[in-house]
Amino acid sequence: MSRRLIDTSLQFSDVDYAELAISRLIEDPNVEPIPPNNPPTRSMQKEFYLPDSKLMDAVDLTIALGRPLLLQGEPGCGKTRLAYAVAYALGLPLEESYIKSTSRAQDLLYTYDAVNRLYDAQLGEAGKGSRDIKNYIRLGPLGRAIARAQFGRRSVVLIDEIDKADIDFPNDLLWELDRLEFQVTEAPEIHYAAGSKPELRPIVFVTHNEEKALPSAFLRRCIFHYIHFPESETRLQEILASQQIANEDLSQKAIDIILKMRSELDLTKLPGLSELLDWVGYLEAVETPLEELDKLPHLGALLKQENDRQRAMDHFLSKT
Amino acid sequence: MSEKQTSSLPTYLWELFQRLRRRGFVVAPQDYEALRLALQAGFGLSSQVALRDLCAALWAKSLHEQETLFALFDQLAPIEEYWFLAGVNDESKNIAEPKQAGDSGKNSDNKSIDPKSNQPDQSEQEQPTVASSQGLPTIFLGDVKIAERPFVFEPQYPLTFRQVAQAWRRLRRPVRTGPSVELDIDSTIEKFCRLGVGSSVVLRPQRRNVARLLILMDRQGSMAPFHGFCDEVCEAIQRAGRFEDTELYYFHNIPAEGADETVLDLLEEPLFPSFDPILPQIQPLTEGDLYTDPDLLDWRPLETVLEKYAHGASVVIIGDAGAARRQYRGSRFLDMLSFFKGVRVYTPHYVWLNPLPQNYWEKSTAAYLSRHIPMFSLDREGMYQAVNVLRGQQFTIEKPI
Repeated sequence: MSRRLIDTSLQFSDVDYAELAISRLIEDPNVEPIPPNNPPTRSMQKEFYLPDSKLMDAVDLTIALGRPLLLQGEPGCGKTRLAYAVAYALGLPLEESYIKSTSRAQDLLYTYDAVNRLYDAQLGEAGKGSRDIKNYIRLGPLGRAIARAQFGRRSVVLIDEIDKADIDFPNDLLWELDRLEFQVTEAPEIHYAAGSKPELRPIVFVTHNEEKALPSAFLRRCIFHYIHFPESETRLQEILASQQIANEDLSQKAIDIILKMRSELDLTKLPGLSELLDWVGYLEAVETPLEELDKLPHLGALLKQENDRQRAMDHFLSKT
Repeated sequence: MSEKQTSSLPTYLWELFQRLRRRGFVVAPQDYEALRLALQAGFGLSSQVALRDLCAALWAKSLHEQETLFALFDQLAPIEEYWFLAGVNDESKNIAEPKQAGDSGKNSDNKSIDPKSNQPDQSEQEQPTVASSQGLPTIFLGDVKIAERPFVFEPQYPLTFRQVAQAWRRLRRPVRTGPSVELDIDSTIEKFCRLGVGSSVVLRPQRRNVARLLILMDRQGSMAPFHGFCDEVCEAIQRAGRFEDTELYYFHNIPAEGADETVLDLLEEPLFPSFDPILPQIQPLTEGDLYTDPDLLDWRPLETVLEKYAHGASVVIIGDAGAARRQYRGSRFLDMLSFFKGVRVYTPHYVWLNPLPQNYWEKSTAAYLSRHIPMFSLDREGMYQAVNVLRGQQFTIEKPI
């Protein structure tokens, strides 16, 4: 029951993200092993991000209930970036885990380097360290977050593209995510637990591209949020402005074009937010004149398939 | 705690929860409790929409589920009903105050229910009144709630995506290929023992599934009712099956046509023929029409497809084999037998999956065909059996071709 205690001590929506400085000192997540207190800090760069109010509510709910936030949405809509932004806004270290098809659930908690231990054991006196198994246990991202919680500090955990892993991968994490504690099987004396304080629970973000169905037991425990492509012009304009794109006329025109593409054309792959940012960013950098935009220059940044490109060219160039 | 238990949520939320459960959402009582906790912490209280979003965040797990939930919520939520969660305001303060001493006043303002936020709903909703000229009482429809989306349709197939994925993931031909990255413990120990000094470890390639699958699906005509279901199954196999290669082609009625019918002359009983006596005489046939698209427009010759994809692969045919119309046609039956003889030239692994359950096969081509080739109905059990057969397990059929 301790796990379900509500924690409203920290709220993402309380932070005025736009007003934050462009860098701040945050605990360095890469220090090994995790120091029990006075952790070294590192200057982190601000992630330019403009969450809408619904997304902020979802993040607050995630923090309050201590459940992982399952993020879905078109590719390139900023699912992964959110974790960076939240970590920066709350000044917490971010533990990242990019899932691959060979990832095992245990890797999120710890890995045991048996091969190196075997090597070291061959060295005789020089390899005395091999007697102590602790030298060969490395904590994984979730493991570090739990250990840090044990030392009284909070972290943000990002589990990126969870659907890339084996279909049973999420199920293997249920117990650890529920209880926030784990034990190293090879060395039972190594045991970490986040304890019962809700204000120390790691804030977990899980991104999901819907390539595979996730097990229902795992889904049940998540908070779900779908990030939509912002369909209003003003919102897109705000987003571009938040990404340090200063040329308003240029971005206005580019937004017109992308909104037309998304609504009027039957494209195989709709251009998303990251494509728009790439495109406008480049157009601004090379100082493309505004009237050039009608000819759709550097379209490769926006549309990634030849037949889509052809359709867009036919559609836009025939009008002018 | 006692205060929590006495406070109750509006009944329509429970009704919504129940309906979601009936629709197969993965929600448990803890998740209903989570809604109560979230409300007590001050979430979802600002407006009806905020409450709807909160329910979606907690109970929906995909965009599709979210749509369903929104529609159901709009149906159930009363247009104007003010409700108060007993002790919400006090409790949210209790939780919030100790930690945010400074701005608790501001917070509780935001979090209290704002009756005004429900007003726009009310004014938008026109309240049609019918004035009668013959002195009958006025019909007032103001209290009748007409949902914007009165029906919420969603496909419910006999098999879920995950069930299909689980069944087909058992079809594996693991072979070690690719870069050597995996530690071979036995060889390493053996090498150490042999050399007696520290040496490099022995690595070997990881196992990869090299099983290949060729799916041929009957399309249109009697298969029309099963299109959605079969597409769902194929998509699950393609997306979650983890095969080295999965190819999907469509055909109409039969994949191969034009078997040599002269063998029929050898039959003694030409009207209700059992083909057992002439089985060895039936010749393999690989001439037929396949299509790459479900609308049967993009044509490919059967032989080319078999040549390219069927060598050593597992071939799965999905079709009703006349069972949907309870039809038996001798010529089609003969074509099918010839076709499977043709497939056997390329691979011994083939099965037929029939979207109709076995008791519907009676007296149709399906019943005859299932005497000669492994045919299963397209349900969980049938799929497991089919995968077993494709894995090479023995399966007794009455009269193998």
